Amino acid sequence: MMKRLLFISLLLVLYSYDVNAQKIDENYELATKMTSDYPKDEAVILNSTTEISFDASGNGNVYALEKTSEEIMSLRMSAHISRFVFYNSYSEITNSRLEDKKGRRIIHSPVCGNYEQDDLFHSDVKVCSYSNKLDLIGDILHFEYTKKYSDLKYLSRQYFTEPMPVQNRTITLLIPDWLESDILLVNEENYQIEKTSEKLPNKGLTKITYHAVNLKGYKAENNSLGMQRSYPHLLILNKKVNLDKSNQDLLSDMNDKYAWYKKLINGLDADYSEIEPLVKELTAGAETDLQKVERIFYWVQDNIKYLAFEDGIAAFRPDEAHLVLAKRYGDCKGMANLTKAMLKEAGFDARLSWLGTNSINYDYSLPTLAVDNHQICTVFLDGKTYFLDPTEKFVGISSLAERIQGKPVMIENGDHCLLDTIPVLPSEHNQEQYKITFSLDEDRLTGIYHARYDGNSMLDLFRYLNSNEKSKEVELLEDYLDRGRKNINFSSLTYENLYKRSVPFSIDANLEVESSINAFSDELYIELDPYKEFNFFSIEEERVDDFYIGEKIDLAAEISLQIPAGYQIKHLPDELSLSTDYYTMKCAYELVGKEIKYVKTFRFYKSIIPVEEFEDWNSAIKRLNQFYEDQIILSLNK
Amino acid sequence: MKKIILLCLFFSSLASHLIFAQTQEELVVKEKMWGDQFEGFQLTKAPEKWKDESVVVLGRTYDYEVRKSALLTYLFEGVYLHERLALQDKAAIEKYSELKTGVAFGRKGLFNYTSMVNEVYVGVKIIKPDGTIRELDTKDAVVKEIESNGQKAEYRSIAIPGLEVGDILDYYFGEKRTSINSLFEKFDTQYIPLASEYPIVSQRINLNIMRRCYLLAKSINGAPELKLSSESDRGEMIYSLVDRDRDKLEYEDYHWVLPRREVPMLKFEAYFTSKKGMKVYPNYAFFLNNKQELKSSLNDEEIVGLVRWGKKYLKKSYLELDKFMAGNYKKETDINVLIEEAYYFFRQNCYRDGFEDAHLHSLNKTFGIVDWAFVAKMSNFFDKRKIKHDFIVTGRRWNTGLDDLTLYDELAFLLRVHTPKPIYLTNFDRFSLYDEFDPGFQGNDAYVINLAGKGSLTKLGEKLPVSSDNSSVSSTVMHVSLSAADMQQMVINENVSMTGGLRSQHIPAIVTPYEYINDCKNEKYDTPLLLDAAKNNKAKRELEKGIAAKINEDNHDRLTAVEQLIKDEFGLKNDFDIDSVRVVSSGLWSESPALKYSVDYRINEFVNKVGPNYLLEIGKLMGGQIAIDDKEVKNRNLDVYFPFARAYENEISIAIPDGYEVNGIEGLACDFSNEYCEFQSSAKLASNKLVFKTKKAYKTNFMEAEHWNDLLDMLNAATKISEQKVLLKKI
Repeated sequence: MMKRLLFISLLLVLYSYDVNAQKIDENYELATKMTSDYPKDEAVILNSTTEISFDASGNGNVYALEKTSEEIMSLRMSAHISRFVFYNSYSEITNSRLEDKKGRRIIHSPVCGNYEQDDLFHSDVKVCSYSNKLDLIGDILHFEYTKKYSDLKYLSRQYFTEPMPVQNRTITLLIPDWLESDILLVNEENYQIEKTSEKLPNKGLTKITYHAVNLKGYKAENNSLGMQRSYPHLLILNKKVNLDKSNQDLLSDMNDKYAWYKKLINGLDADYSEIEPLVKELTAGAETDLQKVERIFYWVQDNIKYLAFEDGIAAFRPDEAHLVLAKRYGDCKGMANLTKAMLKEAGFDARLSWLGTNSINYDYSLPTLAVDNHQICTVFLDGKTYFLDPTEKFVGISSLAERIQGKPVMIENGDHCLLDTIPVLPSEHNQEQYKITFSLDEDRLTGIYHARYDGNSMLDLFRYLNSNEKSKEVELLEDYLDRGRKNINFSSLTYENLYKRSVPFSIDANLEVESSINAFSDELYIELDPYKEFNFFSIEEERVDDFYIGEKIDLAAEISLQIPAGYQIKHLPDELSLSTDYYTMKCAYELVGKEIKYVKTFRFYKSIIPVEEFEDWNSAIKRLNQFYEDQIILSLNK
Repeated sequence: MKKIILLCLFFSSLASHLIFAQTQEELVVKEKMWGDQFEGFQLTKAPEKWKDESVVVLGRTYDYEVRKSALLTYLFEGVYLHERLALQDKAAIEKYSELKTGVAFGRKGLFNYTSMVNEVYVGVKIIKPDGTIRELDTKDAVVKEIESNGQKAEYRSIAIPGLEVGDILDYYFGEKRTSINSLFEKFDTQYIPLASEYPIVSQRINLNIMRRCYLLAKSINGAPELKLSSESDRGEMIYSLVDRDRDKLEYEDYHWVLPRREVPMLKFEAYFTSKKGMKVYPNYAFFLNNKQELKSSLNDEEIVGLVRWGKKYLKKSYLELDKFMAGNYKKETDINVLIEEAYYFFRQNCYRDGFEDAHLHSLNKTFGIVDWAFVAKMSNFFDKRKIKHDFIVTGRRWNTGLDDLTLYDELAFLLRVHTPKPIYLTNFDRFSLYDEFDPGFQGNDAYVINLAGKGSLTKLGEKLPVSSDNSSVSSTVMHVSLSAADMQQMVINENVSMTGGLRSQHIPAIVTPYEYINDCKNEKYDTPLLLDAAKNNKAKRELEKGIAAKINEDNHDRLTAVEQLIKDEFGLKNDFDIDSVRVVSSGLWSESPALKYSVDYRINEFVNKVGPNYLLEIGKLMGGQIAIDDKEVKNRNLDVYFPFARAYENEISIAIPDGYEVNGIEGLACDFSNEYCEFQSSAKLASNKLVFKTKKAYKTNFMEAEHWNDLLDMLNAATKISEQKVLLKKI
C-alpha cells in the first residue's frame, strides 16, 4: 500500500511538473504574441478582480473592504513590475501579498509615502509601491491587497483601467440590504463592459458584477483634463445606511450634501480686525459698488498666493478668512472665504459656492463628493450675479476662467442652497489680434507690428510676465512675441495697459523676419506668415482623452505686404476655409491695390477637441499645413 | 505617476532616517543661526546698483562641521545654510513663498543621503520694510513621509506666510548627518560656488573641524583664501572665507562650460580616521598628513607614494595578462602590438567578463577598474616586458586645473609609453580604443612621475596631446529620393560613419549588447558565451529562448532610440516611418575603429508645394544646428570647453524627379573658416542628382572667451545654409 501511495505521489509530482512546464511554455508563447499588441508595455494584467463588500462593526461603524487580486504576466525579459495602491485619511491598506508563479509568497517591503502632485502644495493622498522583477517573458506575478474605507463617502470611484493593459477585469460589489447604494457606469462607450446583477436573499445582499475585457493601459496624455472624463469607471453613490446603531452620515441627495458642506462652514468665525481697515483702504474713493467689488477681488488675486491643500476634512472646510489674510496664502476655499469676508465687510451680499471644474463631467445632481473640486465666491450686485474665482490671477470681474465656465454651481443660501450655472463666455471674449505691415528689405521682411489681447489670451501673457523678473519685462515680451523662432526679431517695443484687467493689453513694435524670402532667377518666393499658428498641430490617433486647448481661442491676424516696384504677382496661395461645430479656420490672400493682404482667423467655439473629432481635426490640420507651405511668388516685370 | 516613481527611486538610495528634531539641539542650532553677527545679516537694504535684480543676497553663510561624540562612537557631519534675501519683485515672492526641506531639498544637494540618521533644522524670519520682524513657527509646516522596511524618512513643505515685495526673507536650513564611527570615514567632497544666479553682498564659509579630522580644501578660480579664524577650547579649528560684492553669474543654460575651471568656489573634503584606519585605506592615507591642519596642495611624495604602493599592492595581479600574452605573443617584438594586445585583454577582462549574464538578467554589476590600479597593473606588466614608460598624473578636464588639484579623487593617472610617437594609455570603458586618447584629458597640464630614488614630479613642458577634428568625424552619406506616390515624402537611406569621441558618444545607443558580445573576439580571449556553459539541453533551450527574446527587445529598443535620434536631429514635427537600422561595423577594435551603421526611413517634411513647384528645404537635411540663446550670445564671458575637436560631414544626394529642374543651388555654397572652426558647403548637379556637401568643424577642444564671436560667426554661417531651400521647378 505504502509503495503504491509513493508511486501515485511520484506520478502526481511528475504530472504537476509536466503541467507546470507546459504552462510555462504556453505563457511564453502567449507573452511573445502579446508583445506585438503591446510593444511599449513591460507587462500585462491577465486577470484582475476587485470585490467590494460592506460591513458594520459592533459599535455601528460602517466600513467597506476592497479586495483586489491580479495575475500579471511579463512581456519583456527582466521586467520590473510596479503596482501602486493609493490611500488617504479615510482609507488604509490592511493586507497585501506578492506571489510568484508557483504561488510562493515573495518577501517584499513596499515603499509608502505621500503622493506628491505638481499642482498641490499638500494632500493626504498616500501611495504604496509594490515592486518585483520578473526574469523571463511569460513569467507570472500574483498581487493582492485589501483596502479598508472607514467612511463610505470617500469610496466613490473604481476604475477599470490600469497603467498596463488588462485582459480581464472584474469588479464585484456586494451590497447588503441595509445599504442604499447606486452604482453608475461612466464612460463605458467604446469599451466592452458587461453587467450582471443578482439578489442573494440568503446572504442579505445584492451582487453586482461588471466584467471588462481587453483594456489598453492608462496613459497620461498632455493637454488632458484628466482620466475621469474618458476612462471607464464605476461611480459609487453610497446614500443611506439602514442600521439602528450606525452613525455614518452619508449623502442621499443634494440637500444632504449641501447640509454637510454648510455644517463645515458654519463653524467659521472670521476676525474682522485686520480685514476691516484693509477693506476701508481698498474701497476708499471708489465711485461705484462694482468698482469696490473689483478692487477687493483683484487685491485677493494679487496678494494671496494660491497653495492647494487637500488634507482630510480640511479638503472641504475653508481656512478662516483672517488667517488667509495674515498668511498671504490659501487654497481655493481659503481665498474664496477671504474674498467673501472682505466683500461682506464692504457691505455686499457675498456667498461661498461649490463646483466642479471642467476636469469633472458628472451630473451635478449626483450626491457625491466626487462632483466638487473647487470653491469660489458669488456676489449679488444690482440684480446681477458675479462669480469670483480669486485663484485665477488677472481675471477681470466681467471675465471667467475657462475651467469654470458652464459648470453648475451650488451657492450658499441659508438652509437651502441656490443652484445656478456659470455662464459660458463666447470666444470673442478672448480675442487676440495682431496686424503686421511688411515691406521687402533685400532678403528679409521688415515691418510694423501691433497686437491687442483680451480675456484669457491676456491672462496667459500677464501670468507669464508676472512669474518672471520684473526688470526683464521688454525682453520677456520679445521672447513671448517671437514664439521661440530665431528668425524673428522685435525692437522698439512699447506696450499699454499691463496688468489692467478691464481693458485690452496692446503692444507696438518693429519687426524683422529673416529667411522668409527665396530668390530663384527672376522670381521671389515669399513666406509672409512668420507664425503659422496650428501648423503641425495634429493629434495622435491613439489618444484616448479629449484634447484640451485651454481656452476658446479667438485669433485674428492681418498681414500685408507692399509689392516692390518692378514685380508682379505670379502666384498667391488658395484660400482656406474650414468650419465645424468646434472651430472655424479661415486664411486668405488678396491683392488690394499694390498690396497683398493676408487675413487669417481662428475661432474655437469650445475649449476642447473631443475624441470623435480627432479625425476631422487632423485632416483640417493637414489642409492647414498645405496652405502654410504654399507661398507667394512674385516675378520681375518683363 | 512620474512623481511616485521618483519617490521610490529616491527611497531606494536612502539608507537613512530623516527626523525632525524638536530637541535641545534644535534650540542650540536656532540660537546659533539667529545669533550669528555676520555682517551680511545686519543689512536691511540691497545696494542701489542691484535695485533692479529680482533677489539680492544680503548675507549668506555656509557652515560645515565634523564632530565626534565625546563618549559614543558617533560621527556628526553638519551643513548649515543661512541666507538673508532682499525680495524685489513678484517673481521672487513666487519663488520663495514655499520652501521644501529634507528629502526634496536634499535631493538638490546639501547631502547625498548615504548615512544613517539625519536631523533637519529650519528657521524662517520675515523682515518687513518698516523693520518689523516676524519669525515663522516651523512646526506649522506640512510633514510628509516615506517609509519602507521599518525605516522612515520625513520632510516638510513650508509655506512662507505674508511675504510681499520689499520684504527680507531670512532663513536657515541645517542638516546633521550621523554615522557610526568606522575605522575610516571620508565625507562627501563639496564644491561651493561663490557666484550664483543672484548677486551677493556678503558671504562666508566656515569649516569647523574637530580633533582627529583631516581637512583638504582650496579656494579656486579667484575665490578668497580660506584662513584659520579661531580655535576653541574644545579643540575645534574653524577655517573661514569671506567674500563680498559678488555679481551674479548665470551660466546654467550656457553651452560648453566647465564651472570648476572658472567659477570662484571653495572645494573641500574632510576625513575622520585613526592610524589603524590609515593602514586599511593606505591609498587615501598618503594624502592625510596633519590632523586639523588645512591642507591645500598635493606634494610629490604623496603621489609617488601612492603609485609605488599601487604597484606593490598589485604586483601579482597582472599574472592573468602575462599568461595570455605569453600564450599568444611570446615571440612578438613589436612594442605597439604588445601594448595594444595587453590593453584589449584588460578591456575584455574588466567589461566583457560577466557582461552577458548581467545584461540577460538585468543584474547590477560593477564593471571597470580604478585609475591607479589600471596604471599600476599595466606598469608592472611593462616592467616585466622591459617596456619603458612614465606615469603621468593630471586631473580630469571637467574638474579643476593642475595647479588646483588638492583631493585624492581628483587625481587621474595615465601611462606614457616611450615609443617614437608616445602612446598615452588611460583607463577605459566598454568601447574604448587603445589608440584613441581619452578626450577627458586632452590639452590638460600634467606631471610626469619619476619613481627613481626618492621620487619626484616634473611638470610636463607641454600640454597633453589634443586630437584634431580629423580624429572625431561623423560622416553621413544620404541618398534621398522623392516618393513616386507622394512627391512630398522623402525616402532616405542614410549611411553613417563615426570615429573618435563621436563614436564613443553614440556607440552605446547603436550597437546592441549582443552585437557587442558577438564582436568581442570571445574565442581569442577564451571568454565563454552563456550558451556554451549551459548545464544540460533543457537549460540550453531555456537560455536560447531568453537570448532570442532579449535580442528581439534590444533590436526594438535600438529602433526606438534611433527613431528618436533622427527626430531630434532634424527637429521633425511629425511622426515618421523608420524601416530599418543595421550596424555595418561596430567599431570595437583598432583595426576598424569606425562605428558604421545604415538607416532607412521616410519623412513627410521639408518638401513644400508652392504653386506648381516644390520648395525643398535641403539645408534641414544637414541636421539641427545649435541655437544659442540671446542671453548667452550677448553676455558670455566664460571660456569655451568643447568636449573634443570634431567634424561633421554630410554628402546628401537627391534624385531630381523627372519633369523638374533645380533652381537655387548657388545659395548652398559657403566657405567660412577661422582658427577655431569652419563651415564649408557646396552643391552641384551630376547625373540628374543634386549633390550637397557640407562640413562643419570645431578645430579645437578649447577656446578663450574673447574668441566667442569667432564661434558665433561659424554657427551663423551654418545656420544660414541650414535654412536654404532649392526649387524643384516644373519644366
